Amino acid sequence: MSDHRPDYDRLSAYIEGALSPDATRWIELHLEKCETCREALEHESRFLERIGSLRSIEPPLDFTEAVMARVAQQPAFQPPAEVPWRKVAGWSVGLAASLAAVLGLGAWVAISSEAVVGANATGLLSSAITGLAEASSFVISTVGGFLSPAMALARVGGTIVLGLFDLARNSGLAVQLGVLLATVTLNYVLTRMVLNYQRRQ
Amino acid sequence: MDTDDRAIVEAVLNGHQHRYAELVGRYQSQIVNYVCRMLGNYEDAVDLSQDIFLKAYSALATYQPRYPFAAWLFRIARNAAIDELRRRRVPTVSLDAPIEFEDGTGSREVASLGPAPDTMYLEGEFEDRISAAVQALPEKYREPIVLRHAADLSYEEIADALELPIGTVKTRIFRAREALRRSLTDLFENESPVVAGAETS
Ligand SMILES: [Zn+2]
Repeated sequence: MSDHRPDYDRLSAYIEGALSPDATRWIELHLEKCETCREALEHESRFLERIGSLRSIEPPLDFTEAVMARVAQQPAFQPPAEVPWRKVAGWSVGLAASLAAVLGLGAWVAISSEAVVGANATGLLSSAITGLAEASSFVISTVGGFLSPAMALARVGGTIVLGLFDLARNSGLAVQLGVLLATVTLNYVLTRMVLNYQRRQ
Repeated sequence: MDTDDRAIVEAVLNGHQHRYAELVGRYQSQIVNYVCRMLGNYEDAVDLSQDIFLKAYSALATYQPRYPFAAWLFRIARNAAIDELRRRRVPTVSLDAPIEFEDGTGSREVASLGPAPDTMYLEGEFEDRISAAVQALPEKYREPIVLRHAADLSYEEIADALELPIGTVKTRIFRAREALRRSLTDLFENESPVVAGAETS
């Protein structure tokens, strides 16, 4: 039997499951060989159980009812009115995104047609796609210009997009088209999220 | 799985006033237990708890969903309880055997609500003894221990409610438990020979 003083703080934290996995393992190993601490653990469990009687108070059965009777005398909250320009902003972003997608598809079709062939096509498409992505970010920033978080998000979106293009620049046309569509969608979703968030404020 | 607190708050804010009853039902027991252990009187605690839920309803639009609802509610509860205690200016007396706290909060003020120190305790009066011992703790230690054991909040939730670092919360709870182990020694004497804080020879 060891002669050290048990660490009650640690034992109580162990009982509550508030120790890290390492500390838990350590204490379990120690408990296996230390009778002093095993006794202390038992004592501490009983102690915490007793202290747990602090939560034994029952509210009256009609507590909720009584509160709600008083709440009912307060006016109910009004659902926030939809601000017209924000609705318009939401729609125009959607429209811009769709337009960008259509234009992108058009550009791809045009460039991959027989009129333009070979290595040129990839270069041209890369420029077209980068331009479109920047344009869509710009549209979104402008629409979101009223809202600084929207702007920040659009910028983040724009940066991610440019990074993606660098990656995609040397890939095939299909990959580039995929990136374009993903970008437009991402921008659209991000902007809608910001608008919804703003509406809720 | 329970509906998320935040979802209920949003429904209430959208005009569904009756759904507030779900939040009251969910937290009434924790709030009543907390307030009762802070004030030491059941009737007052029930009245104040109702006020707290009404205050929370009125302030609901200021709730920021990035914080846990429980922490926000308990911040309101805490302010109300402290105001009430200040308003009452509970007369205090000093006990002889002071509990030493690490920060030098030695001989401390003790609410005079508890039973006299030399009262004999019968079986079944444990709860009153524990309650009185908790009441006797300095506020700084009483609050976190009450939030932990009467309101059943986690260490994280207590840190949020008290706006303190979690390490501070743990330290205070451990110090409070140490004080309680000492002042309640006789409650456990016939149950186990191991007594917290006693010198082993
Ligand atoms: Zn040991």
